[in-house]
Amino acid sequence: MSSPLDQAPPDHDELLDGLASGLLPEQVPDWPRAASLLPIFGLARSLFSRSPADTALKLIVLLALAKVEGRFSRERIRTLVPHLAEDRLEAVVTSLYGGGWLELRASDNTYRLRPLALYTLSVLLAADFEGQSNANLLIRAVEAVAFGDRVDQGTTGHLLAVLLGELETQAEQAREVLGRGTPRQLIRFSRHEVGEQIRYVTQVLSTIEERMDASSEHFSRLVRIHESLQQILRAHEGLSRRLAEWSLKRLETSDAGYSLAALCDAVLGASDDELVQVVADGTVRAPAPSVCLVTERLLTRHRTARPTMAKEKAAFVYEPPPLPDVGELALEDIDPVARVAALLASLLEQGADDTTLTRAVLSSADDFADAVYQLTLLARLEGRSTAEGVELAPGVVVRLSGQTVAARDLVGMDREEALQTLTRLGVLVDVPGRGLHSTLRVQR
Amino acid sequence: MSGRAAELANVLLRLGVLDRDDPEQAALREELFGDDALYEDVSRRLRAVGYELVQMLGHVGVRLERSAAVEPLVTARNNLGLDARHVRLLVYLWVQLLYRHLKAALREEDDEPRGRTQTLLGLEEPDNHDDEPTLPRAELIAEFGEFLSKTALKGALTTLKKQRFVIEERGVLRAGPAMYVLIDHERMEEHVVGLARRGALALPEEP
Repeated sequence: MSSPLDQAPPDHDELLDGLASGLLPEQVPDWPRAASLLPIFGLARSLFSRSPADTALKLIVLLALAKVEGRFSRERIRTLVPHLAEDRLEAVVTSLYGGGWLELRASDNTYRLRPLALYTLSVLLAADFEGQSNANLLIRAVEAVAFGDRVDQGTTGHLLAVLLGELETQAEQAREVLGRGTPRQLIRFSRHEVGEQIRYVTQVLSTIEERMDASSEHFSRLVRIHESLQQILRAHEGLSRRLAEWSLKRLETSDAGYSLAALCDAVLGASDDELVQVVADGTVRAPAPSVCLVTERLLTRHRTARPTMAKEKAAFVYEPPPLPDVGELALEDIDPVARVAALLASLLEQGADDTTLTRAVLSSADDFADAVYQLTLLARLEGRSTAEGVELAPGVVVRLSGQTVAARDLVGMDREEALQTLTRLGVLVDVPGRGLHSTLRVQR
Repeated sequence: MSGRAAELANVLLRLGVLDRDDPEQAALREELFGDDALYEDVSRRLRAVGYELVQMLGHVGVRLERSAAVEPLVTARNNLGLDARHVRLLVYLWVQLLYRHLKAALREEDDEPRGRTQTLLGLEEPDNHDDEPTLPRAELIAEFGEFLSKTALKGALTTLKKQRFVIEERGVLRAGPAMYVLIDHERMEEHVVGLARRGALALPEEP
């Protein structure tokens, strides 16, 4: 059973040519949604073949056919749409058939509206585009997302007629393949269409069950649907028997290996998945691409990049970068010790006492490690005061309080014990609310 | 010689297969076939990095070793960029252009008295293409008519020609060097015959 999506697949290579180099359609974000809309736009494209008047005439015919059940011979279409000139009507029907709106059954030369066409028309009519404001259109677009597949109870008869039509087409296809199919078509039908059609039969049956209570008057249609189902199943049984008769002997010829015709039929009848497996399991093993620049790829990139670059060039507006900061670099900007010294000097100018100085330095510490870092800065400042005579202000140098503690004195102590020892010796002081700190004393 | 072996290994990795119709590549091929020690050295170097040096009916090239070709190939789109359409065409052409040719070569090889250089190992294979099977492009188009449009078939064929799986001259197709070298012919035969047997037994797919 062919899917509606099968009718107009875009050419893969042409798509690749249209995409930036190295990009696959599947990697484009909106590709799945675009691909799902392609069949509908394939139908729509066929409406715009000649002129707006031609489009209008085609729509008139389509809408007339959509209201009526069953299949349409040319004569019946002329009866249903008597408002069009006969020769024009003939041309319109031919064009609609070529455009995929109508499906032709070869056995009796009758048409029917394809399900996709019927659905497209229904959706477009239900959308009610006429006289809508922009705001209304937007609201409807949002509501359409939640529209789902509501079906009016009154349309049950019509829906059953459509299902019957679809089923009859399947039965016709199965009969045709059984009667005139080539081996490769038999293989394809036997291995793929059976599953698809059984699934389809199940769907039809479940739909019938759902609607049985409201549709007793459609009994004759149900009988015909069952007949179609029977035909499909019988066709498949016959098809399997024919394939079994097409025995393995056909494969083998004298001593030249297997029959080429049989092998080619098998290849042409195989599914895509089976064939891709041939390469995926390493039967074809090309070397991995080397790290190199291929001229062809370079040319492709050049060709695709040039228009893109031209567009970007047109849109580009030069903005000068912000001016760099050219202010004088002070010692405090690069030396953390000098920064601490500058902080202390400014606080001293404001008359701060030792405790205030201690807190000013240590209160900025986020955690224990940072506090240690700050203490290290102070120690280095003290060292500079001693060794180099660096003064915070004239005659003012930094001294850290407490006794000198050798590292070996703390060996073997745990953290709490070490902290108590340091506090007892006056190296650390418990600042209320701030925890343990080393005190800072300014020697004036 | 070690330097020359490294150079040849490098060239083979870049080109994949050597084209017999290209004079420069044909000279490289002659050089490889003319010196057993050089051939072994190049083969060893390639084997050390997961490739195998393959010669088949006078064609020579490099392909991944089977043990090295596991993960990257188990994808829908392989490293050759072949999708199902390309693969169907490739397998069909393999059947039409190579299957019988390989069978005939193997039969001849079996018939040869022992001690003579095997045909599959190359040098004795004549360089003209007179005995290679061909397929008219028009016939291919007719066969694939129900699967692909002419444009789509042309696109797929172009891809295979770029990969050097097939060569077209004046509307006639013949197997390219990549079809000889990059395909594991035993496995391909297993696959194709498997497809045919399943078709004959009419095993339907699970719905």
